[in-house]
Amino acid sequence: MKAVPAIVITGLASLFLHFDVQACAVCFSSSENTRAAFYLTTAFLTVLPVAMLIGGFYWVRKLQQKHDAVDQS
Amino acid sequence: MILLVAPEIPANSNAERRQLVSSSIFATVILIMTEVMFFAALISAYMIIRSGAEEWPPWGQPRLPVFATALNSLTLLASAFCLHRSVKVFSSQSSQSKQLLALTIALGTVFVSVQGYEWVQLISFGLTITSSTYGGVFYLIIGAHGLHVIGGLLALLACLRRLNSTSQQLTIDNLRAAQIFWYFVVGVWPVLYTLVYLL
Repeated sequence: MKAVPAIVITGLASLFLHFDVQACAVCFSSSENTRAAFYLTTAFLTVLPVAMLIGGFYWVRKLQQKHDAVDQS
Repeated sequence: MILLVAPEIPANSNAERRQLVSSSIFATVILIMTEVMFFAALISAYMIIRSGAEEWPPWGQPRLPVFATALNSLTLLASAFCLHRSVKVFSSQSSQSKQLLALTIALGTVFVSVQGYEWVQLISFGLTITSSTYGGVFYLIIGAHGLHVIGGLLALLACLRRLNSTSQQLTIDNLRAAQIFWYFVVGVWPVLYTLVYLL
């Protein structure tokens, strides 16, 4: 029962204290340039971590091969 | 059956665990991966904000000192070269390595100081973090880089202190970890300079 006042206050606050928010990163501009920039940066931010992970695995593999070569010689 | 966890190596096993890379270097590489994503996010935000602006830099906002910052960039690049030389002679010529490390720190300090002076001038001309989106993204991106330069300088100072100390020996791995971080700080700067100052 203690939760009821909190729910009522929150409900009233959401009715009267609301304000507009931008739902997406590019809502401030509808230009073609912004759309292109959004696509480009999305691709960039998607590819970059994958590329870093692949680079990291490659680096560790090279280190392993280097150590193996030292062991064999 | 698919094993989700690696089987435990028995205590009496002959299998040896080898360390391929030192913990300090590995930790620095992981840190740099996160930092790359951080700067990539800042660059992405900058590109999207800029693409939506009709005029860039906005009318009435001061222009950035392109030439002075280009010269200052050379200082940062020179510091990376000094650090490269310092690490190279670390094992053979300790005193020269120390001098080159001190020179690296001095050049890095000059870079930060000139950047600080530039900021004071820009603020006096009316470019503040709240004056426009232009000011906001400029101080956010360049400020984030400046903080990283200061962080790198602190790491290099710690290396120099340990190089001078008799009780705490500086290992080549510690120095290499600081070197990798400094290379990142220096390497990301031309990208930021081109994006923010030139384009």
